[in-house]
Amino acid sequence: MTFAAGPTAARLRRIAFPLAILIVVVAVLVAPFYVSALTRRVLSAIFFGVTLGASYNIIGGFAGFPSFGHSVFLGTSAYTTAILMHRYGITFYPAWAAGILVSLVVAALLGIPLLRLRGHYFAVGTIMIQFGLAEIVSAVPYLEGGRGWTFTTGYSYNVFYYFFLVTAILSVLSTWFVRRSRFGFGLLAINRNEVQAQVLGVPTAAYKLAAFVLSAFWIAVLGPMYGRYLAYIDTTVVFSPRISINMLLYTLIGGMGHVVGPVIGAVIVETVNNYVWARFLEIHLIVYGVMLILFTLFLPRGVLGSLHFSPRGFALRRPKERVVSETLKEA
Amino acid sequence: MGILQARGISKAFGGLQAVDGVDFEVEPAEIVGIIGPNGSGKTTLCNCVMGLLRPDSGTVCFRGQDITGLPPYQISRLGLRKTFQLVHLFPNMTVFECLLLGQQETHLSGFSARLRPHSPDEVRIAINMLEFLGLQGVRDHLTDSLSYGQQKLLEFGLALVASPTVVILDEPVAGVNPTMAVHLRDRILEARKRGTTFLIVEHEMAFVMGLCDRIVVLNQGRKICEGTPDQIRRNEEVVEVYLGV
Amino acid sequence: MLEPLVYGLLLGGVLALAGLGFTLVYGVLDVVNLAHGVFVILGGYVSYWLVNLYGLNFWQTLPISFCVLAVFGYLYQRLLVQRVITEKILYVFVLTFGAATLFTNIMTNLWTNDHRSIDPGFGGRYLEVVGVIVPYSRLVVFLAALIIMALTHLFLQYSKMGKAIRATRDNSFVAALLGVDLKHVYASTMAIGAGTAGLAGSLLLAVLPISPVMEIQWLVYSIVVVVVGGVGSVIGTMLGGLLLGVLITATGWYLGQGISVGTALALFLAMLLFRPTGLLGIEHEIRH
Repeated sequence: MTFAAGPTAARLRRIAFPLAILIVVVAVLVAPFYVSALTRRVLSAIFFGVTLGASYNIIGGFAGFPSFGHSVFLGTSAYTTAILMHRYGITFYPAWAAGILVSLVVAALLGIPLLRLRGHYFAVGTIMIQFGLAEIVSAVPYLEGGRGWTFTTGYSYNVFYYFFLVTAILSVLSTWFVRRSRFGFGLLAINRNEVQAQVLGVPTAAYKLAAFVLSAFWIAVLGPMYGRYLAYIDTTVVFSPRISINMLLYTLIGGMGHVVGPVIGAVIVETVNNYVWARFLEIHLIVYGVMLILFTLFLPRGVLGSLHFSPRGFALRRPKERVVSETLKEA
Repeated sequence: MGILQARGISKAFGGLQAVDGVDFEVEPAEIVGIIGPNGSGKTTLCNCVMGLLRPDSGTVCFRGQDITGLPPYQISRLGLRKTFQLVHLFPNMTVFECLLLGQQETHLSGFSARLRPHSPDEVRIAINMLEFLGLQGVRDHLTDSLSYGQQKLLEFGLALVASPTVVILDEPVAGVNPTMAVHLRDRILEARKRGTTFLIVEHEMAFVMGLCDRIVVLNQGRKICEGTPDQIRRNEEVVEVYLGV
Repeated sequence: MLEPLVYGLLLGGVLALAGLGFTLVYGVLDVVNLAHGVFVILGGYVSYWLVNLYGLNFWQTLPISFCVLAVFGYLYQRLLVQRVITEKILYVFVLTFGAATLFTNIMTNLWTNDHRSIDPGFGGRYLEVVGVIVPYSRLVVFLAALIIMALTHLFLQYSKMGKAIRATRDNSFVAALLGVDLKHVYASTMAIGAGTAGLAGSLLLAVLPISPVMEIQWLVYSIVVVVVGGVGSVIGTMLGGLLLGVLITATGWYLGQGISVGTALALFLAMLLFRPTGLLGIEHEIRH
């Protein structure tokens, strides 16, 4: 069954679609001045999520190495910035840059042993890094500074809104850029058949490491600003397993490996999360768990992965169906 | 000296000696066949040559360079490629995309080139390969939706699309219908005419006998003889090994 | 100086038992069950409530704890995990993680995060071994863990179901051809995995206070025990448990509490770098 098929529908789609995009863009740009603080916060959370998801997509979606510990890069840059500022009196912006650099270095160091692992071992390794690193950081006084670090927020929430929006756009653009490059192609090949990719000349180890480090970049950029936004960080906040899982969720729910996937996923997850959190605080994690279960059982390919778009309209693709790709010109 | 040369290759798994001191040499633009009963070590030998396995001893030389133990992606870029016995393609990618992938690493160096999308040249080469193989009709089909024979043909094309010097084909016509087998044979001969050298591991006797210039026979990991198809056909030991007489 | 060693070895028994269930499930089903820690803690709670609400003797609660967790594990596998077992491993991870989140938070909602403990009934009696004071409770818990592991091993070796499980682990395809009901075997394996994990939790209750927040800790421990010992090896799991037990106790002793997971991580990384096949086991081949 194809939805929105037929000539009238086609004409409508040609006008309606770009118009809808335009409306959304304008709305998003002027939102902070017209919506409530709560809505602004939810939108900020969505953009934050989009950035995380788009970054994660490079290693998790394209290369197919699902990391359960990517929030460590958020934490590393936030902590580095905090330590440089509080212990060495360095101002924010240079400290921020240093934080990003440190996160990238950590990503490279962790990536080298981790990416040699296959399948289960890799995922478990990232889980271990998530919990282990969090614990180590909070146990070392030099790093934890007693009970976390404070930040001066310094800017209005509107500024943070636009910051998160801009990073969201930039991160999605980066992902798009990677996707259409030879490098992105190579990652997709590694995902589907690593041995065959090697035999065809793809330097898989180097590609995987590059993907891992690149996937840490925008996350590291967010870290210190996130700290300022919250005015306070500790390991539970920035080395958070929930943020790591959320990143995975945004791409999974939206459609793994699709550039726009994290956008859709972040919108869905953050809206549901904030709605449930606001109304049903005690059971919100229970709802979260149920959501994860239902999702893997019934819609594992995500929104974009379960729909099939063609010039004639769109249809729901049944999971095991063999479908010809979108580029086929229909007779 | 031949373009591909293996000396004294040995490989054991646990207690089993899969390959035991095998030598062979392939001359440019030759089509050499490797035959032998099941378990004679043909695939293991080829995997050792391609760097997918590390031989316990022995060396492999390609175009005068020692490639023993190099990682497969480096060997591939030097101009040696291999297909797989069980079709080993990329699910969820179209035929055309696979052909782009198959050649993208050939002439690249440095990270910046890899950040760019495929060039028009690469697109052209992919289209030419589609025509060469006869797969234009399924250009935008996902590899999962191809027939088995078409998948084998594509696997062959992937190896060839980067214009390699030598291609190792591991059972290219196993389980393939006769029409497709003839088509593959035809394409191999055409590729040889254009300068590619082939090393073919096969079970299908008729296919091997009718195609190869020379044949190497393995049994239980050892080379038992080598020669033209006629010589092999008449060799008593070979007949014994295959018929158990 | 010897205290951490002795206490660590004793704790190692429980760690090994927790790891046993995990490696069994991983070895036979190829599933990394992120809800494994839940089984451990839940087992502890079953014993706790049986003792506190029904006045049972602690040791009587053990068989019940096993049965409750075994049934729970069987249903968990049959109804939930079985459905995604054929898909990409990522889905199994997310599903089991979702289940872990769900169950842990149900426990927290019902029973709060307060730590619970019971008195195993030894009246604080102790032995003196090489100058170290060893409470009877710790010693008995250690021995109980060993006995349970031995029983499990015997079950797997000699019982009909045990043989079916081992056959499935070695080659599920052929086992199915020979008439083994795979879904039932998988669920039974998960049942044993959950049951033994529950027993580990119950035994743990006798020596330490437990709370739902420990669920992740015990998942991590089970993983490390298995990685150290090697997948599929009972003796390996035992060694892994002992080693981890000593390390955690030693670092806790000298560096203070709160670094136990970090220690486990360090051990994990060390193993992966230097001996990825584990001390004894054979690395489980990831099938293409």
